[in-house]
Amino acid sequence: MSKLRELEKPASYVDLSRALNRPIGAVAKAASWLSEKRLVNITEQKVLKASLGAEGLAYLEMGFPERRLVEALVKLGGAPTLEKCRESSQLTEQEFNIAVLWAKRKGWISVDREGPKTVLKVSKYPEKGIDERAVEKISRGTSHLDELGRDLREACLELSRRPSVVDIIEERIHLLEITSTGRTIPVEELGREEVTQLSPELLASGKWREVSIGRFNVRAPTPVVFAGKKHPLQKLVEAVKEIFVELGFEEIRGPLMELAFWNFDALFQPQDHPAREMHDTFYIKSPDRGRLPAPSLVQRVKSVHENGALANSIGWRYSWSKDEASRLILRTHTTATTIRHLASHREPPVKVFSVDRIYRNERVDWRRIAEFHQIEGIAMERRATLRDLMGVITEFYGRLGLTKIRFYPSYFPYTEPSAEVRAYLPSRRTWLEMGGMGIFRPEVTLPLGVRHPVIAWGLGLERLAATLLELEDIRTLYFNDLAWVRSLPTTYLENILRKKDIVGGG
Amino acid sequence: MPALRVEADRLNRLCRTKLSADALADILPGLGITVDSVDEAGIDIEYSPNRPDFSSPVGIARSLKGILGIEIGMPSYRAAKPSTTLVVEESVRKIRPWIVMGIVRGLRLAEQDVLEIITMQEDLHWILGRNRKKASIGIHNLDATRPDFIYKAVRGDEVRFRPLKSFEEMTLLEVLQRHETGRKYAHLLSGAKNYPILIDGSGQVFSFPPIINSALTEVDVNSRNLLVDITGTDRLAVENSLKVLVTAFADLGGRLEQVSVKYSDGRTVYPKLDPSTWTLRSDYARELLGLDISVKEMVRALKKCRLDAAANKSKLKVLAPPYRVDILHEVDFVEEIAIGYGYDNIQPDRLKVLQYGKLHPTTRLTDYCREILLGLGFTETMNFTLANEEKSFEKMNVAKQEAVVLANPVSEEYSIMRTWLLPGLIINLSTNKRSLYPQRLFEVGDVLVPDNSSDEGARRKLKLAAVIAHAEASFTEAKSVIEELLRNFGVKDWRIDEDVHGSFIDGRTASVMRGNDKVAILGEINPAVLENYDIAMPVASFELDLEKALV
Repeated sequence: MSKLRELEKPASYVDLSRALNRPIGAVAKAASWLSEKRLVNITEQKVLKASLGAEGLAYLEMGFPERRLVEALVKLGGAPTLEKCRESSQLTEQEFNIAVLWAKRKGWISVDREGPKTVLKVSKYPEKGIDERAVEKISRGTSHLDELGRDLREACLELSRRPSVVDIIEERIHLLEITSTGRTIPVEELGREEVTQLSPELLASGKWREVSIGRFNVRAPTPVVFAGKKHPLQKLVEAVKEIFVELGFEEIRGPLMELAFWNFDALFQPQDHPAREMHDTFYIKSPDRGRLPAPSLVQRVKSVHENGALANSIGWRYSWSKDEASRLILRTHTTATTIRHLASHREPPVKVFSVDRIYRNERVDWRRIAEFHQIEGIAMERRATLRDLMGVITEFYGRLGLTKIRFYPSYFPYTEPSAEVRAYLPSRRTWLEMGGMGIFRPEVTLPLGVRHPVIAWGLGLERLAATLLELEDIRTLYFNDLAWVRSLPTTYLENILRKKDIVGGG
Repeated sequence: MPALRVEADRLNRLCRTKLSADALADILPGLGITVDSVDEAGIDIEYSPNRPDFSSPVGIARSLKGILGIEIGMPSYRAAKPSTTLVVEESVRKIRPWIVMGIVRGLRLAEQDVLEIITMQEDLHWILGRNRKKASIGIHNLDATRPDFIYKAVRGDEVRFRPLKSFEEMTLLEVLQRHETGRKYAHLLSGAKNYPILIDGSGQVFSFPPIINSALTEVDVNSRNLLVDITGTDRLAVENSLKVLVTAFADLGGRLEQVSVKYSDGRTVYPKLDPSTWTLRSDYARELLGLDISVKEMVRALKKCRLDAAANKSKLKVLAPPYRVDILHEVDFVEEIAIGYGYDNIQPDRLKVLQYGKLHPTTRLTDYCREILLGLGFTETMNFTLANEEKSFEKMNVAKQEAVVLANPVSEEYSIMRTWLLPGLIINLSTNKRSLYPQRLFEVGDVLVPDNSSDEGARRKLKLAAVIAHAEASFTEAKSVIEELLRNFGVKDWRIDEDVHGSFIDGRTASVMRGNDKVAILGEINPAVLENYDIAMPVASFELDLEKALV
């Protein structure tokens, strides 16, 4: 480390090994340790390195064969015959052939025929060639091709074609460069024992002070974990409940399995109303009948259906059956629960709500489910009005982030005036039918002994949820697909409602 | 809700307007008519069954003209005095006792009118007639008959006639057995020894109510004069159907004429087209709407809704046309005022009395459960309380339990109400077998327990169940979780006993007991159950009765 800092530039293992006078292996080991700690960066480079082969070493010592041939020629008078020359040149047969070939190629000699004899003549003074200089250079230790001049590099490559003269080999070298941490870390810290996990023992013994805690690659992939999550629909249920509590409503709860009396009759739904038919309502096989409430109440409901008199109405004008009213069903709306509550809370003010399950005997498909939630509520005040009702609903949706609301006339057997509410969803550019509402008819309230106006509403939850979550298939809400639940941000409701749908931002 | 297609052209001709389908689709909801879809030519609408007068374009046009101010106030309908008599014989009184009749003269029907009449007839059969039971309508070419008429009951083989859509004469019994329409509605006469028929002055059978008319009186574009008969078991439905139908015919250009109906005990004439008369207290309307509007404004709004109204100090005398069979109480006019005034013009207001809100204890109890389970890394699921019997018991390797059984489920998937939560969670694991493990799921919700001591025959019971699925899921983990729950609710008087349960592995099943009450079951799920649900991962689980265990 210190040496690297002194050098102030990247150094290879070999450099460091020389500088520190330590074996290369030791340097490499230290380097990799430093690298794990991000104190140095190691980069690997490929270099071409030239070295002298057996012939090359001989050439260095005795000269190139072609030079030795020319020197022999000079000694022999300049133009001996081939035979004469071969005998006295002290070159081996193989060297002699090479020497003739190269001397000729370099233009140092010419080979002429004089009668039957072949004569070698010196034709040029043999200047020291670039190849000879290259061999000398390699012998002096400068062997990286990259570090040689262009001429020398080419000469080396040329020489590598002559057998065993120059060998070119590819070599990997490792360059160590000190990192910014490496530059600043106190040198004394480098000598510590390293641990991968801080253990209770290390903490208890205080030994943690003497060890170094291994550095991690913070970018390395880690196992996936998932937060436990509430069901997406539950989150909407909670948001809705929170709003009604904020608006001063008290939550109520009632039977899922209900008497037709509370679900229909007390709500002035005539007994042959289509909604009461088998294909809309789930009836119970056993027990199929329940017990009706107090006879006086039953009698008042009966009479209001038959002649309306006690509510100053003309009634439905048919013969009301107690047996039909005592049939058991799965409630088709939470209004059954509301009306039970009203029957025992007859004096104003009353402000109650529920968000709970209801049932319709539907064939289930991508648009329809047989069990879903209704957002239900009523308010009774001495002077509750249709405008107040519109106010509650506008405030409710406004707090959900849906600020564009429209009301339309509608019809329910138990409310008058009645309305339907639609809300605009800017994120989907569409008006969505949200549910129905109205003021309970006198035929509903008076038999219960309620003498003041009761505003009431029953709104859909699943359709709102499906639209907000952009679900094509409403069954998705009850499919409990973990991949889907895990993928929804915990803040999904806020994302959808408060950001996208508040005009001008929330 | 009944549905109808109306062409924009048709409405424009009837209203003398030039509105686009889009513009009409914008206005109609203000009348309480729901627009399903709009295209260039027309609108698919739905209307509430309390307004059978919306079953034809002429009926819709009447209201439209009012709200647009083209024609306001009550349309009046008159019928000429009767020149025809219908005799109702005693023989029919026990089978299908009520009949009314009316005559329409001078019609010039286009193809489209005939189609509209048929549609209206079908819709009224359903809305007012309850599929012909309470009332069924016969419309005849009057000129094919000879007055006067007799309504009586005869034996099934006593007379023959050629029914509509048939080439042969049949006896009444043959119609019920062989004719398509006869077979469809035969149940309305089941048990009867004799069957109702209508015969004319020459003794021809021209109707077999409520089954089918004779081919003799079939209505087509050449029919100028029509005879309407409506029979039924409900006098009100029969009378109302006639009012709705003949007023529509009058709006199609017909002249109405009454028929004298003679019962053994008296005589009456139909149709009765007198408006109904009501008194509306203006204060009552103001109070319910919360609108400070004058009596004059109320009158105007009512007139836009095709009603007549006159102020008498603080009271209004309101007249409703005969087709408004939905009016039961003065409150119905309060809504008419709102419609005439326009729902869009009513400004929302605030409730006046301050009250404090509060959640139900159940909501808070279940919220605490969620808090703990989420803290332990569990994810919530939400399943239907409607359940399937086989999946609840047999596939869970337990004996059938007493459950609330549905009498008439449309879907086979739902036959009972769930009695425990675990089957739903196991199904959830099965659904998610390709999702990453570990999977830790819980549900907190209601089950339904049959209970004879309850007036409703069953009680809601809150339960909490959880499943833990991963390679090392074990009894130990389930037990740790349930103990943490009990600790968090401050429950101290519990113990764990060994137990046996078909859904769990023997020797790795336990119950949580409080005194003599078993409040929870826990253990490792039986591999046989896992196999039934195609789950290839060990599962540990528990289910606990919230109220017994934690409260």
